[in-house]
Amino acid sequence: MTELLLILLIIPLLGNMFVLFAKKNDTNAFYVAIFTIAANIAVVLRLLPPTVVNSAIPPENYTYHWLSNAGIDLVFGADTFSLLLLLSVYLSLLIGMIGLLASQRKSKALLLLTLYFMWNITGFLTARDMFSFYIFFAGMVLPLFMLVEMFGSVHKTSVLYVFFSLGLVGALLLLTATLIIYRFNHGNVELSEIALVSIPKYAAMVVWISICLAFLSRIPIWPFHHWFAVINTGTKNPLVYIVVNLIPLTGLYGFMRFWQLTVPESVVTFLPIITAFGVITMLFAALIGISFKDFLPKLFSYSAVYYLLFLLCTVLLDAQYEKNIAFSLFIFLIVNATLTVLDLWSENACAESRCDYRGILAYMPRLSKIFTFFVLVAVGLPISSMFWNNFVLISALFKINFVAGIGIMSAITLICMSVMYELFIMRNLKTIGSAVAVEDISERQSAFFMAIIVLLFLSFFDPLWFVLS
Amino acid sequence: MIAYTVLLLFIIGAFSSIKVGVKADKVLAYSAFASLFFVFIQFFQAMQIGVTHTFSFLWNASQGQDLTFEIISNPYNYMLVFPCFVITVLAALHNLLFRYEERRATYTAVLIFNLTSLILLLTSNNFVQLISALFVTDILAMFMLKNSDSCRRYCMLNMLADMVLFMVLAIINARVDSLEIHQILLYQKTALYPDFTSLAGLTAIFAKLGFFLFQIGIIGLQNVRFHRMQNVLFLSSPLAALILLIKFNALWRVSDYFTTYLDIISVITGIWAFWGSIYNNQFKAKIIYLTLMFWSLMVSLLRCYGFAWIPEFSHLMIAMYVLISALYLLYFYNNRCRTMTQLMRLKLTHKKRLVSTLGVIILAIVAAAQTLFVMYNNVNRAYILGFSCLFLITVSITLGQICFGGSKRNIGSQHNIRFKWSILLELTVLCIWLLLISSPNPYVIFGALSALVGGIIVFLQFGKISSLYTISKLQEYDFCGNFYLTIVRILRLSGRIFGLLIDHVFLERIVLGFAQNISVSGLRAFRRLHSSPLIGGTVVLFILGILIWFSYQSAGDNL
Repeated sequence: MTELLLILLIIPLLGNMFVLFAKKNDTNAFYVAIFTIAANIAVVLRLLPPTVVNSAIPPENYTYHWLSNAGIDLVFGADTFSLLLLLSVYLSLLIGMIGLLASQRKSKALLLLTLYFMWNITGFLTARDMFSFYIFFAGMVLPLFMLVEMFGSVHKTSVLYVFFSLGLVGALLLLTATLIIYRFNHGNVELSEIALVSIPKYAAMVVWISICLAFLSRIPIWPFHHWFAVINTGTKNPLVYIVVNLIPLTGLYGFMRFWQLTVPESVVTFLPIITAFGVITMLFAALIGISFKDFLPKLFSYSAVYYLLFLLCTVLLDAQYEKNIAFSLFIFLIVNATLTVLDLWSENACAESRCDYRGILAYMPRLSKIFTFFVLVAVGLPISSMFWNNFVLISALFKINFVAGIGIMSAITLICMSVMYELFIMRNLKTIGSAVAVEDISERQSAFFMAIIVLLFLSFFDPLWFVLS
Repeated sequence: MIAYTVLLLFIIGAFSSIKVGVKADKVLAYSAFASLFFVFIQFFQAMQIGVTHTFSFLWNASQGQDLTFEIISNPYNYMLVFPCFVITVLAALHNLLFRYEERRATYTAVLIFNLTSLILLLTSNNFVQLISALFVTDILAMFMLKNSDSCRRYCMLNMLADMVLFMVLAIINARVDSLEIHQILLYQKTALYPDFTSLAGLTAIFAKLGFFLFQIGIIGLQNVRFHRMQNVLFLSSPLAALILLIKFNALWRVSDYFTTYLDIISVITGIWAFWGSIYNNQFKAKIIYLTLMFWSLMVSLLRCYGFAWIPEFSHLMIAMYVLISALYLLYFYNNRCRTMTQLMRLKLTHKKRLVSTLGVIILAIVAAAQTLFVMYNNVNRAYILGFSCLFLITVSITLGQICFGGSKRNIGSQHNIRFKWSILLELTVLCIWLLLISSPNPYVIFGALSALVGGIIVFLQFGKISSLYTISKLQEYDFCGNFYLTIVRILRLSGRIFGLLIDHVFLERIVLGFAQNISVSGLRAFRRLHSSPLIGGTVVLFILGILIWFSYQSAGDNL
């Protein structure tokens, strides 16, 4: 089984190579990228059953002896949590690919950078040692920045500069922590064994504060949320939007891997500050979401609120809630990606037919049905496993901190109502004025999203129904 | 048995929701109704026998809290399901007879699925099943209404209520570590912020019922088709809210303010609804206010009966549904005029149909009045009688205005006189018959007398009341709508202000500007260093010195 992990890492690189040598202005590269993602999905689906069945046993790791004289072995492994996240990331990227317009599909650079990002995030989510964790964490910055710069249509240079600097500073902070740990362990260390490394008190403080700041810089928490917001709202390419929206996941995953078992008491004293910042940012993002008039900025606020919810769950709750977070995140990522694509399609249809964006869904019945379903899932109605898992998580948060729980629920309620309201506006025939001819989505596109709907709906009954154990 | 019913209903619903051609749709709608009726007969037989059975399976397991999906069949649950089933059958029949829906089979399917979710809500034994069924009922209400603009406020308010309930249940679960509804008793002992949880939950129930301050949602339904509006009013969120009120009565009792809060809101709602049904010119708005009055009466009655459902509640609900359906027929036979002013001007046609419709109305009033009298006799609360009288007066005035009000008297006077006599004859025959068959029964006598009083009110012309319809300010003023708009505006404004102040002014201008200034100053300093080799060399040597000292200090004995 460990060889499959290696295959998981090799496939995106092979895909990259094929895309690189594909013809210019042709859709070959696009199909190669689709095939690469599909192949990785197949590998993840093959890897998942043993981890689910033997959830009590730690998964077998794959070790690559890289620099034996320096004591650096790269270790890769995957449990149900990382595999579910990988699956949701791949599905999100696949949805983003499907969402590309005909002209965008011919862009080799876009596909190349996306596959490179995919390789990095695969490595990051399967890394089990400090060095490989750092390498892939830092490796994501380059494709991300190039994607945003080349295809993001963000005009503010200062924002791009700060966004890139944040990524770089985050990577440098993690490098500092990695090197200090390496210094005291006299070699590389597995993530699960970091707590066993003996580090002096002040050095430990530096390590953990660096790690926390490195991960926080990738999460839309105040003050970092602003640059994410500007980049997200300016991006009109669905694939780039989805890639940017996956960045907070890396910070969240970092917390998930480090916080649960390894964080020392000295850092836990900062927990109330993180909680307060998290809750305030959630409320702040929800209020800003209400003030926006378009769907995409609201969707960004929605994703910011949910990422912060998962962050608070990660830092406040025990490891036993890991699966609930994974199930909820799995649905959240897919829904977010789908809504992005659907909204950008409807915006594009408006631009083509020169009509008002509000009320557009009334003219696109297929898109409208799919859009409605995904909005209902997003707001947490019981049509996916997100509903039940959110209930467990929020309930656990109430157990720990009642006031924070109220704040979190208020933010979620505000943002969900805001998203729901926008759905009504987009469906309302009266707002569009006069009748317009708008081309609906094709049957093939509709069938693809119907398959996703089935995947989400069945997850309500069993979150891992697709795992053949 | 209820589980078996649920399964059959689900199959019929799925079968009925198949998309077919127009002709096949008619056949499908008829066969779906026939199947629904057959299931109802079976259910009724099982209810008579009182079959008890529990169907359960492990749905999900998490943190030691096994989530079990349960459908419990017992006499109490049968009693609860019965009125929902009857009303759904009537609604499906209504859908079959009146060709308003383009796809009648699909609409019947929505009604059947709604009944299924209501049954799941009624028979649930844990929070997750309960709230899932509640959410599904609300989603189905969206399908029932179809018109997205009119149902926007209704759906938004319902969603807000659902989120609050979700939060309340999460708090309870956090406290008692159990998903079982009966564990609320444990919560009573260890409640965390008891007043907050109880009153927040109760407010959510009021929002779903459309009570005072939350009526904006259901009043907005006046813009959808009558049968859709009626079905949502009787089979969707208000009914679900009533079920929750019964199921969580132990939770409400956690707060000492519960009864006061409930009484105040239900009385204000009753009075507000009475006023609304008197002054409003829109016929459908009148019907909504009438229903609101009915729900407030139901809540008051439930409180009197300690939140335990008794068969009289079912009778009352069915009678009310029949009454509203009959009022719909009046509206239908009068060319579906939207306003009372138009209805009053219109010359009545289809006299025979009208007479039979009025007969149905009288029968429904008799049934409702006698049930209310039975209930009043048991609890002896004066306001029940007061509410019942207000209700009777409102229905009678509305009927009087439709049948004999306005300029109609002058248009077809001869026809109207005959019509009046035929109604009076019908009413008298009914009263005599009722008195003859059950003369010793005081309840029936009370019902018959109420109908007679109502009949007399119908004949009395309240001209001054109809003059309220012409006051445009009164008709157009939307107190509740303005209230909510203000809240939304405040939220939007605060979002914009926060966004501007914190994001743009503080982060972009101050923080980013400061960072840029620092980097620019740093660059300038380095440039100056490079301009003179002496200064540059000195600084480099100084930095090197610090580095050597630092490495010596940190390396310690290893050096």
